[in-house]
Amino acid sequence: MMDEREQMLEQLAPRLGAEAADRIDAEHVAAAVTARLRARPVRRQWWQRARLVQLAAAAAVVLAVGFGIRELARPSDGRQAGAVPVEIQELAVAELSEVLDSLRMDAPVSDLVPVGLDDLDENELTQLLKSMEG
Amino acid sequence: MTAAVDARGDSDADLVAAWRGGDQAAAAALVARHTRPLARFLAAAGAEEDLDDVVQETFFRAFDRIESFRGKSSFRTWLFAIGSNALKDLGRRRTRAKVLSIEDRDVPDVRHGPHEQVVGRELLERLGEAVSQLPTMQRNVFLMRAQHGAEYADIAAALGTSVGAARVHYHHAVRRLKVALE
Repeated sequence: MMDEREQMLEQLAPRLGAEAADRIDAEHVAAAVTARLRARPVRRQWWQRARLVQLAAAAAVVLAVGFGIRELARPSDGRQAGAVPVEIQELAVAELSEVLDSLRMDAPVSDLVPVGLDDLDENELTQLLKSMEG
Repeated sequence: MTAAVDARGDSDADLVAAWRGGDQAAAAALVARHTRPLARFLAAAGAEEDLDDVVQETFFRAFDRIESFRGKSSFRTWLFAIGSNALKDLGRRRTRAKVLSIEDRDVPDVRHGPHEQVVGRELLERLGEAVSQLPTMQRNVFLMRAQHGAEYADIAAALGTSVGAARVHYHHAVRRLKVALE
């Protein structure tokens, strides 16, 4: 059961701030807010940042695989391909293609022509990166 | 324009979804719909001559981080919670000697004669002063409920607390305010 003061509170509370609020021009506020929103710097969302990380990881894999393909296809001259990761060295060309397929990327080279990213010119590299961006 | 913008008739949830999709007009419609209640809340919470700035800042923050609105509370109470933080962050809240409206055009005055109006004015000023002295959580809960009629569940969701805690905050706020009105 509410007493008199509680009833008074209920009656007065909705009036708090009413006069000040009446002076606010909602149209002006809307214009100012939308202008600020348009002017704000583009902030990458978490999924966009994650996509960049994925892109970087995919690029690293492509570089490694491309380098491995080139080393495997090179006539053996007795040198050790020390820079190529062991796992990639051990893969056959077909297996490397399968790895690329699993990455859902088109191989940057035709099946039978063993080249790496080093062999791509700037335009081809740009196209590759664009295709990776989906 | 305000009425026209808000004449879309969309729910808040529809407008929020439209804004997430890049619809600037949806943001304008939400501003038109919630500016007045937000301004009343912020004015009662302590914003004065900077009320316009705090209202704008609140909407900007809300739209800028709209992805954090999960719909667990109403858009309006969520907006109030952001507004309370904006007011605090802007560092402009201060103890007020003068308060608030007595010539309210939206809510009928509970007093009728000149003497009663003076009494009503004094009471309202005392209440406004007392509300501004409440701890932030109590003030937020009290205003959301007493000024805007929000449900405890809605308030709790917006303020990140439990329904029980919201009830307790309201109870304590009322107890303090009743003393102020004695």
